[in-house]
Amino acid sequence: SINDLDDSLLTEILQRLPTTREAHACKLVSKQWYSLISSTHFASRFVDYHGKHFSMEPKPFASIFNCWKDMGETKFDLVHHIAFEDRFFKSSGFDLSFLPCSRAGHPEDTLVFASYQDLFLCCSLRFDHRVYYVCNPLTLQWVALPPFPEKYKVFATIGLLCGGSSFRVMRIPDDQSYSKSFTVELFCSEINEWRKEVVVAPHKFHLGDGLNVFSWDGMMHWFTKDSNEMVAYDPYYPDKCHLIDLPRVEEGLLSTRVGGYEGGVRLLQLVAIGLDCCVRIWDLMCYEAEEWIMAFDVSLCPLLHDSLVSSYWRCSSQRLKIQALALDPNDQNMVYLAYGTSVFSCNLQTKEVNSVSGARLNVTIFGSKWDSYNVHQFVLPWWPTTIPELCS
Amino acid sequence: MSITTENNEKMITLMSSDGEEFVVEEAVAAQSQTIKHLIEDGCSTEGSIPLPNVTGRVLSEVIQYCKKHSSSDDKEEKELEAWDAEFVKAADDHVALTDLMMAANFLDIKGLLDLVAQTLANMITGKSPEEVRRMWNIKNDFTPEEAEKVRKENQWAFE
Repeated sequence: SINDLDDSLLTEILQRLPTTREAHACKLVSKQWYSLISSTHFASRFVDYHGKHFSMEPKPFASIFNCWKDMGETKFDLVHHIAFEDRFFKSSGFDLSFLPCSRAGHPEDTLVFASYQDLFLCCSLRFDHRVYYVCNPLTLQWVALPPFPEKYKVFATIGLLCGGSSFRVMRIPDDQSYSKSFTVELFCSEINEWRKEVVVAPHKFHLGDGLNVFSWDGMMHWFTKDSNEMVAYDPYYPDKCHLIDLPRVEEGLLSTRVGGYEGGVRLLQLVAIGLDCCVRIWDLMCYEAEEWIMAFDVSLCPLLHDSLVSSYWRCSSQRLKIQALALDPNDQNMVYLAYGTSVFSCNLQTKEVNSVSGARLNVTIFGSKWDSYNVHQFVLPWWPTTIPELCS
Repeated sequence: MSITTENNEKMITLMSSDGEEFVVEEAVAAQSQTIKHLIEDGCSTEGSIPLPNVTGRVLSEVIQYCKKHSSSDDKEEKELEAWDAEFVKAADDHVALTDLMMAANFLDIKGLLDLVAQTLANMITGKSPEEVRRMWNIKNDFTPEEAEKVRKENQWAFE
């Protein structure tokens, strides 16, 4: 019977379970199953198997929004939202109350400031508890980082990147002047320390402040202050960075977002042209060549007839309030846009526009109320990422 | 024992753990990498090949599978899939399937191992841990406290 199967044969069966969730639920069957499924060997077998056999199946992903209104040096108003709510995310996974910095009844205190795949970098907004946590909201694993050297600033530019057996947190606390170099604070998990590094760029630029960092394919990405260039930074080679010119738009650029798909970095631009609005997607060919290849240039207006957003759209003054949210990491044809409180998906290949059900933007995050917003993606790999241990 | 049929197919004899003998074409038996290597190493020239880990009942099923899969070519993929589905359905209880799986593993027949493993995985899919235990007579060796801990650790998987 099943009880006679050794671990290698049981692995053959359990690696074929359709989802990570099913596999984790099976830990409760017996001690043998628990230790088998908990092993790193099983995780790699599961990933191998699903990578080979189900690569077409979309993996759940979500985006977390931080929106804020700047009300002076230390005051701000901030909201935390989750959109693209897959059934998967109805779990307590996105409740950050398992972190030691969270207080019962105050979920708004703890916020996501950076993400890498399924890992979040979180921090409490309370003055007495300013420690960064790296956590996996599914497995509830977390580690607390030692205090950072510079003074606390809520909207520093912060990035997280995991390189297998170690991870890096990058923090740029200040707006730095027009210069060829800038200073970052870099946390290295294997030495459990923050270090200051001077990063030298290929030429002078204005760094900017409180920027949204997108980590993908071993690189952190963010836009320069004037949004004409993108910084690409590998925290494992901390003394240099790439500066990549963004595709030029003469006028009417509404918003730009960086995203990723199958190892590559992509750009999403929303451009107002007359009464229409275009969605442009560019693929970055290579960091050195700084070459962008256009993948899509799709006019939105014709797609919006009969759709849920068309009533907004007919009012021309509202037309420019549309915002780019995210690129789908699992579907190269899909982008997410926001208008008012609604989030909608747009398939650039089939030209279908749908409102994203369950997207929880319960306030208008764009327009007059908020000064800015950051988007942090949560992309579930085939197996939840284990946070590398801190060296003690 | 090595004998040859009229149409010049080389035959070999397989002996199960309970002494049952099966005379099959070499091409059929060679679906099993284990047997193929035994033949190549010359172990079959004297008498039959003993398979001490496989009972006659299981071996006859395995041979059925190998016969079907050695006679079909790629064009008949759809038909073969349907046949596979019927084949595992016939061995419907999990004990028969696990026996078949162990034999497929010992005999190193990848297609059969994949087929049975997938069938067993499909049986678990959508079931709660309690249902899986009941279905396959697996003893719950967690204390209530341990079970609670595991459930908490993996809360997201149970929602």
